[in-house]
Amino acid sequence: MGIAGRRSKPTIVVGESNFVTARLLVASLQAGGWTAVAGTTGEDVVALIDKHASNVLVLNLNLMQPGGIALLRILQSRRLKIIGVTNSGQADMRPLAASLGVSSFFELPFVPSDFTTQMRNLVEHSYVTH
Amino acid sequence: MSLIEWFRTMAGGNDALVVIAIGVVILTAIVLALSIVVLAHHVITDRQRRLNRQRFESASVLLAPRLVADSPDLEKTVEVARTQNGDRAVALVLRRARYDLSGPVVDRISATLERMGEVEKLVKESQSRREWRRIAGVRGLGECGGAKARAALVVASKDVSGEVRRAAREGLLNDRSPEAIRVAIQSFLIDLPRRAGWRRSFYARLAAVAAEELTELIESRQLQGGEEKLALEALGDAGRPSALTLALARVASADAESRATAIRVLGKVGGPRELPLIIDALDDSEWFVRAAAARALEWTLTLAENDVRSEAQDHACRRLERCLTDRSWWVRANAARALARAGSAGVEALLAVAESNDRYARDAAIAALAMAPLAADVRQTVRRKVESITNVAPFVPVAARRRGDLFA
Amino acid sequence: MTSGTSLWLIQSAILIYFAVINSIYLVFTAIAFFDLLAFDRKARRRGFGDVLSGTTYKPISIIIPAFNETETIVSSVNSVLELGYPEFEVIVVNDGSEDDTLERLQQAYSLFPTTDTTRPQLKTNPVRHVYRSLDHPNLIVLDKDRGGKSDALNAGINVSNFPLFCSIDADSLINSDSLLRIARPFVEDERIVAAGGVVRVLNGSTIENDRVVHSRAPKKLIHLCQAIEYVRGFLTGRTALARLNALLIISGAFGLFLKRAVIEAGGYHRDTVCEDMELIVRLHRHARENDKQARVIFVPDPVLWTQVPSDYRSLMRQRDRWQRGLIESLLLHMKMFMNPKYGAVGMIGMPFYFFFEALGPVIEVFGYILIPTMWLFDRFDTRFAILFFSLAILYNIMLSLLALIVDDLLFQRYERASDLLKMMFAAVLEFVGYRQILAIRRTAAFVTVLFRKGQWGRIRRERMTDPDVATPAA
Repeated sequence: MGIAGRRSKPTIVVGESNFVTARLLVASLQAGGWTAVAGTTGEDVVALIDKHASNVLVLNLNLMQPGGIALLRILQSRRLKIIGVTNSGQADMRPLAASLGVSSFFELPFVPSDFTTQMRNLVEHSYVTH
Repeated sequence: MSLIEWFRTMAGGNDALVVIAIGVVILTAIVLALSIVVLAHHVITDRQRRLNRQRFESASVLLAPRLVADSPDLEKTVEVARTQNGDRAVALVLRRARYDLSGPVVDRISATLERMGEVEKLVKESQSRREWRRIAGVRGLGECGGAKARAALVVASKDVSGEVRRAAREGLLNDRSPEAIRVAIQSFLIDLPRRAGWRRSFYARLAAVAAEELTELIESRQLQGGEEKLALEALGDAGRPSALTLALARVASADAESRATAIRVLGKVGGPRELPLIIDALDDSEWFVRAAAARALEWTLTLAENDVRSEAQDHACRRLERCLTDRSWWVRANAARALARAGSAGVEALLAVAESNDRYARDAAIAALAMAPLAADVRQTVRRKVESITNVAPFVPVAARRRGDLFA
Repeated sequence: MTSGTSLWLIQSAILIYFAVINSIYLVFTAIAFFDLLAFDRKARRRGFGDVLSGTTYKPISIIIPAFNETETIVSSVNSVLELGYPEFEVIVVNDGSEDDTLERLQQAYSLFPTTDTTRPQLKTNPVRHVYRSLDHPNLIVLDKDRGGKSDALNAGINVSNFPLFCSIDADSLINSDSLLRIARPFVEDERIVAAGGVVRVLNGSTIENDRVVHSRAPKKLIHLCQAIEYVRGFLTGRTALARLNALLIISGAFGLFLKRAVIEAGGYHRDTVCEDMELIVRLHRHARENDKQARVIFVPDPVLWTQVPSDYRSLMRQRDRWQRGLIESLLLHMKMFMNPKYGAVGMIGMPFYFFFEALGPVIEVFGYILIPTMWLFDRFDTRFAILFFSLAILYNIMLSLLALIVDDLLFQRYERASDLLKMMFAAVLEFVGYRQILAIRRTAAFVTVLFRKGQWGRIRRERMTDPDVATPAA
């Protein structure tokens, strides 16, 4: 392949402790043309990022084991593109989360098409070039 | 000789002790038998739990793609899921999905749950004599939505139990229809919870699902005193544009707390035109307004659009530096945190303050540097500088301490 | 009065004592069952928009007192730093450690010294340095002169910034959502000044990355017996007493307090070995004497895992300390005893702890001594022996089994049925030696309390990955 190369879409990792919510997020991403995998704990998320060499993360800041904010600290050096998911009334977590690498936020409940648009904006420059 | 006679002989004719001792033996035998039952119960419920979990996950995987796509064959897929995984699992998945999603699919989920008989079951539960069952039923109805559920929730919003009423309000908010929202707000105003946390939680949810109604509520002046501020704050947290107009109307209020709330909201929803208002508030006469302004700038410097952020960096840094010597601890701390988000200029300003004689400003600056989003090499530099500034040996190894060498 | 009559009176008194105490425990177990059932139902039916995932939480300061904790300090702090709680700070108080506890912290968290600008509201031994971490902004480390656990906790309170504080032992591991669960009642009820959670035995469980991933029954008998005691104590005694607002003990390993109330009551007392119990009694007392409402509660679902002693020597020291602490606390607040001014605490809590918890082992030991003594003097009374066995031993075994049943029906903390079976056997084996040895030591505490005021003694700590403590995940 030439220098211009192919672009491959990254595998997106979803960190969400509720199984149904995780499946909905994964399904939304798959509908948008991405490959997505979900982890329900912080440890799962780190393992998935390593396994798929992913650099895009959708993370619920209320995740456990370790907690969402603690996980962001752990992942800080990896320079991931991160969308932070919060519940209503959790806006005060945003500055700290942003300082730890979260690029944008969205709140539950969500409209799947809005979510994929937001992801597209975030991921646009995250393609791996061969 | 019977057992009782034997015991009586043993107890020397003391009947009370006989009774108790026999009772203990019988109870012990019962408990031993119960232990065996519980062991068996443990094994069975463990298996059942695993099976339920598998069904739940399988139903989620099957239904999720149809739900997010609002697919025409959603109902058909639901039938397949019910056959494969049972009604219970499917109902739980649909209820959760309705809670997480927004848009037209929400009404379809409600209709499906009604068709499945889930709503009817929950309506019965919501009419139980036992409070905990009513609470469970009402919560479930809130997750189902739809006309039938809504009607039952309206009834429950007048229940004798405060907890049931609160659950009903939550359920009505989850329903998200205009009628349900209206009833929830009315019930809330009559039944205003004592705890500020519950009220904040209500406003937050309302801002998330019905921002227009919350805006109307604030504008109608039905909320007294501190309630209006909590509600406005919730609108700002949710990033609703209507919060901007409301905040602008209050930024010059005679009431300092209203000013503080307005400034905080402007930090979250404001644009370039609102920035000067926030910066001016750094000179307010009240410490909590100044603290709110510093906090709002932290927000702006972290989360606003690029153009707003760079403008804030240019104009706010010097004013924030002055706040580092404010007499209020909160103002100093918030200003330091805001400066830590102001790029290299902010970090340099903090390092300069960290060398000052004012130990309070110094402490706030160092704490803020610890939280600053710094690159690894910058962090190393900061670390070295902080250690040299604080002028105390970082720690003294145990051996040195024992020898009395304080500066080994 | 003849010697036969005297002997009969003594025997009857012992039997009646055990009949009464164990019947009270039986009633407590019944109260606990219904209470926990209601709690379980309420907890399971919480809605998705659970209040604590939104706006209603109170930030917490987590204070970890550490003295010579080099083996366990980093694991413990790591498990706390990774908790999923919206807002908290961790304050590690190095209480004059003689090993390299502080050095371990420095290496792990890149500490730097900072100016101590706190206003000390409680008197403590001097604080040498205050450190912050450049990697964890919510971590504070105090290095202070040795003063004991109470002193360390008071120093931590002085530095804390938040309205609630939690004291966690350095050799413990906490579940990720435990803070959320224990903090919840403070949001719902402003009268609460203290809340205690459940402490479970870590030994035997599988841990991974400083977290318990599989809850298993311990392998060694000494650990199993302690696990039974914990289950019985937490689920029966504490639940019922909390219901009556007569709870005098919250485990020092895992308790959450309202800082304002503790400071008003004077902080932790430095001259007692069971500072947690003494503080609770004082919180009650202070509230009553100042016409305030104070509730001390027990929350059954947040869990903290702790290492229990693996050798009998450490175990004896621990139980001696607990018994001394109990006696000291009761004596310090004797004014409250059977005093209606102090409500349920004075009329139920204090008498219960004195007559049953404190004196129980003494009467038990007396019973054990009486039987062989009577045999030696040819006065052996089969009747007494059998009744003593029924009322003192069999009754207790039944209570232990009941506690296990309640625990399993409602919480199912042990994953495998084989673990539950092991625990049930331990409920029986506890009374073949273990219980008797502890009763003797606790009786001796009535003497040691006079000579060892405020002294802890040494307990051997093991690394979290030692086979005796826990099994690392594969």
